[in-house]
Amino acid sequence: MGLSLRIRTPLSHFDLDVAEEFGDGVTALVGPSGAGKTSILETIAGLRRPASGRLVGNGRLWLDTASGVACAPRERRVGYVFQDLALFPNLSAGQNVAWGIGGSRTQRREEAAELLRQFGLDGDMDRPVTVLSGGERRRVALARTLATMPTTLLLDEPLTGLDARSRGDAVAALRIAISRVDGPTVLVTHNFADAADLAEEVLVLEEGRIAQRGTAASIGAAPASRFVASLVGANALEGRATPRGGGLTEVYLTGGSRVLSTDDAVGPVVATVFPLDIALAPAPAPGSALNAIGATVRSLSAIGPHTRVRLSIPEELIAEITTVSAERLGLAPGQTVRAIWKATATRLVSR
Amino acid sequence: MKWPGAIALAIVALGISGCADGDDRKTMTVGAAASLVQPITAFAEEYEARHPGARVRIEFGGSDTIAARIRQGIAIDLYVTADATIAETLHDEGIVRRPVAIARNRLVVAARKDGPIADFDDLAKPGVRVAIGGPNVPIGAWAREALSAKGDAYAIQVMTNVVTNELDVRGVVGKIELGVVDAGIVYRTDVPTFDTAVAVLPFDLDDTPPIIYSAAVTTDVTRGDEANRFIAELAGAAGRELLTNAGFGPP
Amino acid sequence: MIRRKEIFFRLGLVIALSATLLALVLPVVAIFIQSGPAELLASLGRPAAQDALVVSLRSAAICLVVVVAFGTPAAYLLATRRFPGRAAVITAVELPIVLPPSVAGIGLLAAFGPHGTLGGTLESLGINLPLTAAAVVIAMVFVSGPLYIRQAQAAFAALDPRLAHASSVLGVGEARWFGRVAVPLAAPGLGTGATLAFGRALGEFGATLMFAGSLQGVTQTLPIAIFEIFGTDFTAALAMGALLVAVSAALLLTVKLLGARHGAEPAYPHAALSLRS
Repeated sequence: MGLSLRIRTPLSHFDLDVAEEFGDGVTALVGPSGAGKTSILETIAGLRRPASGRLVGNGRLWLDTASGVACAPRERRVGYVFQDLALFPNLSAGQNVAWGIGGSRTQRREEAAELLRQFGLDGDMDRPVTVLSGGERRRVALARTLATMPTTLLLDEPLTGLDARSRGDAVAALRIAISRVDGPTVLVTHNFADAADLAEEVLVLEEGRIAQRGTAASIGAAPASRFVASLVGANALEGRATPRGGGLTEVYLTGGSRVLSTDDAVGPVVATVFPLDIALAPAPAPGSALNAIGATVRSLSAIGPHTRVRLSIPEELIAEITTVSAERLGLAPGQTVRAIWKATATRLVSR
Repeated sequence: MKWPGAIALAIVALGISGCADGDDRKTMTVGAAASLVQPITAFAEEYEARHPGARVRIEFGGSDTIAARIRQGIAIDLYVTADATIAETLHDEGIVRRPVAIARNRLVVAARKDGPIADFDDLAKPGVRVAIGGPNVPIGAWAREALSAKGDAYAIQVMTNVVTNELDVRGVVGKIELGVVDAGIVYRTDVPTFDTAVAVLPFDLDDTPPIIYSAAVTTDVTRGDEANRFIAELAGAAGRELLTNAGFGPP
Repeated sequence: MIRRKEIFFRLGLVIALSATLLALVLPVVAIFIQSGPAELLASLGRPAAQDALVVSLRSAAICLVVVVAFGTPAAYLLATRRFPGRAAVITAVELPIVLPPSVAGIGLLAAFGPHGTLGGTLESLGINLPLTAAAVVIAMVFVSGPLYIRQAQAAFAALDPRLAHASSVLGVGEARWFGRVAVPLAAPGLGTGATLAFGRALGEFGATLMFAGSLQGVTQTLPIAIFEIFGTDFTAALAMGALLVAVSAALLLTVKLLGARHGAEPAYPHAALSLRS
């Protein structure tokens, strides 16, 4: 039945001011550290009281500072997986999972064993959590959270700090957990790619306010601000836009270069383009409706078949090309090349 | 940079030790029984006034404690004790010179006037609370002898009423003052120090061996002449007057 | 130039440790050197010595039970709650640590003596505290309790607050959290506090003498017995001193061994579970 929240409360550097509705699927809150993401989760869980706020979860009023209503965490049927998991170090996996389960000792033990089995931890019931691997501990934490059959699931940085191999296991385990929860799942992360992997809807949190909301794809395709653009990994260039006719808009960048876009805009804008859309060539290539800007190579970093090239035009521009192409071009720092991309790949957002 | 610091430290260390030596050469140390606080302090002041340049330092404590320190070789020039037998023993061991008797004290029962004790028989009443000194402290040893002299059965009954064996007479006085006991056995010279109203029940002089206070000079004394003069005056007219005022009898 | 500084610094460290060892170890060792084992054993046969040991151990044990029973929840409250006046409360609880024993004794008499603040009320109830075995325990509790509470409070405060949050979100009451997780995790710190408190209680002298007096087999503790006898029988005093040293050393050793068995003391237990492992 979703989650409706209105929170206004001061944080260390700015005020948090959020009013949103979440549906029953997975919603991600993305923003840099300190943006207020964890504060929002803690408020939803009932661990933190905002200066002013109203929370309705699964049809029940959880919090209303105006009328003094505040439900304890236990009444909200919320499941919370902390960033460092917060497993009880002196207890076994089974005891951790059974912590929130009621009933007789045998019942609790059986339910805990069943949950552990569903997460592939059959033999680990009595092992102390301190001897388990990181991935095993993550699954114990998920099992413990699900043991109380929560109707809302909160995940704090669930994939942060994982190497590529553990990440796959973690995503699988999280999908199991998410599927078991009957209501909304809210996850917070500072990594847009994590949000894209897990969430149906993404909210970008910038300095205490929601800067943009939509699917990961739509945000990526049309970042609403310079901040969002850098968050999703796009290049963001500032300039002034003038319509040029023929469906094209001209943008004169602050650094002096000129960029074409098929978007309509006038006046101060941010022009964004994804690194993958940029090709590099030694000389101007023919073709209409193309951007071709002189750029100096600052640095290169090859990761397998892809190479990220840091350029200056003179603003910083990042291109991602195949390593093969980079070698063929003989790219090296200090070299001059032309950065080329289509006008259709340039998004414009008014500033 | 380090050397000046080290030299400075050395100078200070020498200076401190030098000061200590200087003190020893000028001051005579007296170890005196706790019950003599008032008269001995007054006597020492008068002594210093009579003999300019003389300096007397007095340490008060239990007679047995001071004797123990003297045995350990701690620098005490003069020993003034509430228990002449301790002085005699030290003399036999060659640790002190012949002791001189300077005063006599006697035992009394000090009973709180707001309490249940009015006479000696009351001390043996069940439920009464009594404080005396421990068996190894002079005031406690005397108290036990005095009680036994009144009769063994009596002594046993009183001892069952004893709720504390204090480590010195000041402890006994303190417990009576505080009202946590109804009575205690102390020296007659302690009576004026009570703030609270107490009834005084003196033991017969025959009930204890005489409580003779004596003074003796330690054998490895550094200021022998001074110590002898001190004792002579203490046993003489000047000392006698102060001791009598404090409630002590002649030896 | 740098070399010489290094050498002097290290020399300084060695000198400092040697001086410390000398000051701390010599008096203890001297107790055992000054009297032969035969004399020591003979003196231990004295009823006064045995009675004093029993009084000391029994009173200190009762004191420890009281201190841990009341001090553990009190320390937990102080560690986990913010309330107005908290700093003042903490200062008040820790104050007896810096009070000289004589002041403690005076305080106890002023509170529980016959003319004391609570003394009158107690007496009308038929309870007379001074000069009783209970008074020994009370004096010990007064001087050793704050030591325990301070350690226990630090131990609880060092727990990861996230753990308490997790338990609360899982819907479990604080009582169960306290007993099943908080206390076990804080146990090393609680153990250290208990050791300190027990040692302080065993060694308590001034306040006990003033408030409880000295009666063999009832209120005469080992430290008091030593002081009573050292003037007339130094060997006996040495023997009882050696006994006290042996008991305290055994206690310290036991706690250290128990602590070592639990693994290295985790000052921050939650750190062991960070994702970075």
